[in-house]
Amino acid sequence: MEVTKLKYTFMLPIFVAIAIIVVFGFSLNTVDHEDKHVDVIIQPTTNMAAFIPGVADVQIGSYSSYLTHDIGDVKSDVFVTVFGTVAEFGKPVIWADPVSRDEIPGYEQTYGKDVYIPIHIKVLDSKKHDLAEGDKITINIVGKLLNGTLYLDENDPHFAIGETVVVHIGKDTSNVIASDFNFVKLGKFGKYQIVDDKAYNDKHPQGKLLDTVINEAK
Amino acid sequence: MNIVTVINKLISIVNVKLLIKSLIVVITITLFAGFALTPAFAHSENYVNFFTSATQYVCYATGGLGFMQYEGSTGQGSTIKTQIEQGMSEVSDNTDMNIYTTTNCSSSLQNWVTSFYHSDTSKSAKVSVKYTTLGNEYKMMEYNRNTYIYWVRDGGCSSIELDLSNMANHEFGHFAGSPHQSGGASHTMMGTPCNSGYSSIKTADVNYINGGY
Repeated sequence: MEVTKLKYTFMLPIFVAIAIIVVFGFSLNTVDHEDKHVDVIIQPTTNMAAFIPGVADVQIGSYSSYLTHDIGDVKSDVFVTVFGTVAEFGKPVIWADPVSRDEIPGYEQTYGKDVYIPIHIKVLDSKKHDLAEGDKITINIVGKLLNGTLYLDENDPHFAIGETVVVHIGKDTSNVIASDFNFVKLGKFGKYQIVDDKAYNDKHPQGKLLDTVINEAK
Repeated sequence: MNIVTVINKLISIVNVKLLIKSLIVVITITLFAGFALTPAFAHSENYVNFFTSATQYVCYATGGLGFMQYEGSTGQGSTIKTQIEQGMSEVSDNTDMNIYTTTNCSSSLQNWVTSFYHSDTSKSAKVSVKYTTLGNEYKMMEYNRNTYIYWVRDGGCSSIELDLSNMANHEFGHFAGSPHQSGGASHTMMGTPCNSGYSSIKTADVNYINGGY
């Protein structure tokens, strides 16, 4: 009699509760992890503003759309892949987008001036274009500067002085922004942070082999 | 004293009816909490840029749009505007948002569509958000006018044949407040990177946007 009482009045609700909690927990786990950033990525902990002369803060100002996040799709657009260390940041350089802003009164007062930030990288190795170890190459990130705050796009790469990186660099020869203007192809998807010979970015939070990323645009 | 005896003693002490009722309450709360919380864990990035009002007016800078290469030539700002407005309609007609074109455009403190220059031909467009100290918000939608991006009426996701109205669908999804979403092309118009799902708004997109208004 006591065993029957145990079975039907005490254990059954507990099993139902456990089943529901398991189902609930499972439903949480099946949520797509694609957008979750695993904490394996080691991000610079310092706001990039600390390195840029004349910039008090760096904020996200826009949300962009890319046609691809895979360097393998745009190998021909990569001028050189550099493995190196971030040596220095230059001052923001103002440039003027030739697209007329006259149609939008007060555009610069609202959104800021177009600027680019030169970032100098000391080369350890390079692919696709020969650079000697110890050479410096300059890449640029483009943003808007308003009242001392630099507004970047959510997909722009961030850098820190001393950081070891691999960057896939594109070269813009149109002379719209500046002559022979180097930029990071695919933004943050074309830049890796190197830690213990593994390369990390938002697309590869678990890391890829350094040798693989250095050669992936060849 | 074995375990069955111990349990029997516990049962004799515990008010079993009260225990069952308590468990039912706990289970019900857990169940409802699960259903309520699950949408919060949906597959989107964690930022929200919904407007305060679902009714929004958009200015088009046709001079700026005319810098874009469309079907092989520039100077087609009005045609480009018409194509982009299809994206505006895709969102406005299918969600709780009401988005209209306006010609009453006299300030940067309004919503605008224009073009911008970026060196990277893989970067197709962007939406910038501006909040004023009065708590108003405005969005600037810009399409990359790099001359190596060939915008077309019927194309795909390649920079040499980039479908303008499909990209406009996606960008107006951002305009409405949706971030990029995970899931395949059949599931969302807001996937990333560019894919065939941009061709039309999906139920998941409609639900997400309507959830903000």
